[in-house]
Amino acid sequence: MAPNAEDYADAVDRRRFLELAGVTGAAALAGCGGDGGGGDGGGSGSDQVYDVGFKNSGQDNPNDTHFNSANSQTYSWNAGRMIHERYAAWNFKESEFELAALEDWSIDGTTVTMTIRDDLTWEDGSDVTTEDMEVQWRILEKIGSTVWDFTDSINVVNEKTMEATLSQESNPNIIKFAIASLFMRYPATEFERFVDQPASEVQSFKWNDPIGNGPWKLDAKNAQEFNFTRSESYYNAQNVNFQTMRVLYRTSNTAIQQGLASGELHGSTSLFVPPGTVETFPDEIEEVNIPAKWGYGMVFNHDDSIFGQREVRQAIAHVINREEMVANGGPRTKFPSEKLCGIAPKDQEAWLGDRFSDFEGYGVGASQTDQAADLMEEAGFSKNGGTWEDGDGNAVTADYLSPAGWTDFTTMTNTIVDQLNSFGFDLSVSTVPPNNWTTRFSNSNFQLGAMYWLPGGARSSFPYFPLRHQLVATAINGGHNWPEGERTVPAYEGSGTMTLNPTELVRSISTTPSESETTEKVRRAAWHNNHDLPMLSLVSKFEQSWLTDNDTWDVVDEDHKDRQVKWPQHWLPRKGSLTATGN
Amino acid sequence: MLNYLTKRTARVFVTIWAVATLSFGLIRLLPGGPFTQLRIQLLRQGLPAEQVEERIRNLQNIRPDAPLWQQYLDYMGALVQGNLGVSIRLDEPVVEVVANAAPWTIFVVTVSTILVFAIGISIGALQAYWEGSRFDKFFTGLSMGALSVPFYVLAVILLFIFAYNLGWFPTSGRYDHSIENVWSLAYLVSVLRHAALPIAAYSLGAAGGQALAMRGNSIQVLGEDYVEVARLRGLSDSRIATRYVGRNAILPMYTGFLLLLGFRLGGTIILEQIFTYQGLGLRLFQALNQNDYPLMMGTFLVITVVLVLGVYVADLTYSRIDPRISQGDEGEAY
Repeated sequence: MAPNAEDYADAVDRRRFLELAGVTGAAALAGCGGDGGGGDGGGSGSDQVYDVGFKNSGQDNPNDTHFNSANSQTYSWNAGRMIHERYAAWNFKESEFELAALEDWSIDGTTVTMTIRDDLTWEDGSDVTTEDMEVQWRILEKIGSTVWDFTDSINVVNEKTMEATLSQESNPNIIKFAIASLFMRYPATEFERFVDQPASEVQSFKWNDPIGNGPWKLDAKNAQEFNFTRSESYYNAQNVNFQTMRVLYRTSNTAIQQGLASGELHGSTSLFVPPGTVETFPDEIEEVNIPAKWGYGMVFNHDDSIFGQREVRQAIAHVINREEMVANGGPRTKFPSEKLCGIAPKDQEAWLGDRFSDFEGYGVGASQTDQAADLMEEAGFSKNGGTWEDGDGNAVTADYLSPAGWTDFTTMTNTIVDQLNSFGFDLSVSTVPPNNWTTRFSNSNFQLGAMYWLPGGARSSFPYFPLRHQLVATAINGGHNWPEGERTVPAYEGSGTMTLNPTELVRSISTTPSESETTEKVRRAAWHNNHDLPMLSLVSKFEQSWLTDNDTWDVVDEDHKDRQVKWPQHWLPRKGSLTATGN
Repeated sequence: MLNYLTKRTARVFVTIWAVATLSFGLIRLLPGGPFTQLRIQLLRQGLPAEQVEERIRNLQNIRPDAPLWQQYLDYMGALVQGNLGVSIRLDEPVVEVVANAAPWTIFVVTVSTILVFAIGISIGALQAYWEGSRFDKFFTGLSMGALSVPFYVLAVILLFIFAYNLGWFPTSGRYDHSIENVWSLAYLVSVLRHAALPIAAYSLGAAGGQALAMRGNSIQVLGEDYVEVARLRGLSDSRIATRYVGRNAILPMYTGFLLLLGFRLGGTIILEQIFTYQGLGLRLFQALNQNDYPLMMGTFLVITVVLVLGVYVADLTYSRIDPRISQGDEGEAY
């Protein structure tokens, strides 16, 4: 995924980096995992193993990357997930976790108990034990992983069970999303030596000869590909009926698209493909869409004299026609947010329940310029010669910061800027390389711009994460200058207004164990978000993953639940839901 | 002559020094500075601030807190010792990264440039020889057509047809990694097969340009008095074509050949990206994308050095090819 960033590769990499670095709050990007046992998915159910190889693709040069996730700068997540088993996975279809490396987990007060599968072994046949787990957690502590944001201590109970003691009673969802994101990838034999060394040691270690515990083991890696062979010792090995899995290195989206179209490649973990190109794919290439919980939003510098004003932000929200953004940015894979409230679009109704209709929609398919004009006037602006001006006669002028190379972002940026300029703003699009883009945000060197409003991955299904992301914005070091403290918004119940501290409110969700209390707090935090608009929650999207389903490869049907775990190339073979036919 | 040689040699070092200095200055003018992003990332990783500064210092052989002149002296001092710093993303010495990538790029560019000239000169000479013929008209049109197609468009087309659709050539890489013996014929064939399409894409259009240039030069030489004299002397057509016309028509193109070697290294950024050919161009492309300034500077410098050396060699050898300027102090090739 990276660098030809027509898709979100760069950002996904960065998010993975941040997640590992313990910055973004908790839990991991994509929940992925397996269930406990023999697979309720496709399940090949045959002992026959065919000597064929599935050719997946990636944009990491294997020679430049390795398997130590603590050294996140050059860690290959696409290859790493092939060989290591995650603790648990989030199923986007079922909205529930499926256990993988763990056989059981439970949270009782401040004690989290995790039990490793009895049959989980390293590829050499030795058991994965709590000795490995303890080493992993010690290293995570050393490098400041988010699981240690809420963990006080760990305690090995026996060879397979370990307990983590929380610093305070916490919301079980947050704990589970954080733990589910972990992979069992620190064998004590390899990593114990780093426990007593400075963090920089493990963070600069390049693990090129990894020991896996997943369905594949590394056979070779070179400048062109990772080559994995089937691991006999994998607990669900009976589900894997083909001998090799290859991850071929390609430098660009176009090269992967051509590879898929020509049959040279059998799949791609995550690849943006424009609609026109999709039509050129043969029928045997199947697209798997999983909610990305990530998408185009707008960030404001709250210290800015214009965009720091709530009325201006609300006016902007009214002017933006989100359906038009989607129509221009890619209707096949994108969808607008019904309510601008900081909750992922597909989850809004479930979380807001009967209060859903009370939330302001700001016109999902319309430019509500009348309401916007009223708000601008309320804020002291007036229109002169078609342009909005402040009380001193200064036009509402700004550079709209947008990442270069992300073509869908660019299209939606142009759409928004066009809509706002038609309304009477004087905005100019300023596209900068992604690195500079985030740096500008981090340094508060901007007025407004395009920014992902959902932090991405499974955890974004739980509103705490996107709500926190919008207020704290650790991804940009809080460079949007959201003011801490109390805010006054229209009353959540009844008329009048109410005052609350949104940052504190969101923070308190993480320490609320009760489900009903959590729901209530989420609704109030979303209510605040809906009126104060720390960011604009505009559009979300589906991930695009690609697989071949033909005479040689068999993939479970489109509505099968196994297809809704990230990522299909990693998950489906484990479940026997991607198999060789033997033809 | 000695004076000339000294001047030219000195100019090589001055040019390289100027480019190194310019690179040093330019990356400090980049928004946010070269290490802003890395500093943020490392701090987020939980590294203490002093460790972050230490790591950044190691990366670039500079001391960010030192005065600019001190940084400059440190940088140039390291450069003289062949130390280009450490790649930010790869955490490997830039020299090693460049050393691994450069031979492949130089191989593609050199073979391609030789082909460009060989094809261009041959066709151009024949066109001039048969000036006005159908052959001449056909190749003039073909050359102009080839010249008007950018190499990267041609690259995509060749890749699509001959690699993806027909499967005659590999779609990416430098060689077949399943061949372990690098001294075997199979390995050599594999290298040639992987390089074939990049070389073809990089050569065909440019060859058209050279053919037109050669044709023009040859026609001009054909009108010279000494060619007329040669004819009057009754020399054979082949001798006139090779010894009189060919040699003189090629002369202006000789320096172009060496200069092109250097210039075309820059074009490999796109070429190697299209073919996933892991050479210097692809490294530079990735370094640009990732704000990997040490690697960026390293590859810039290598390209500059090759270009400067190309000019230098052209200057020094031109006098041997063209005796008319062998005594002149001002006889520079460009």
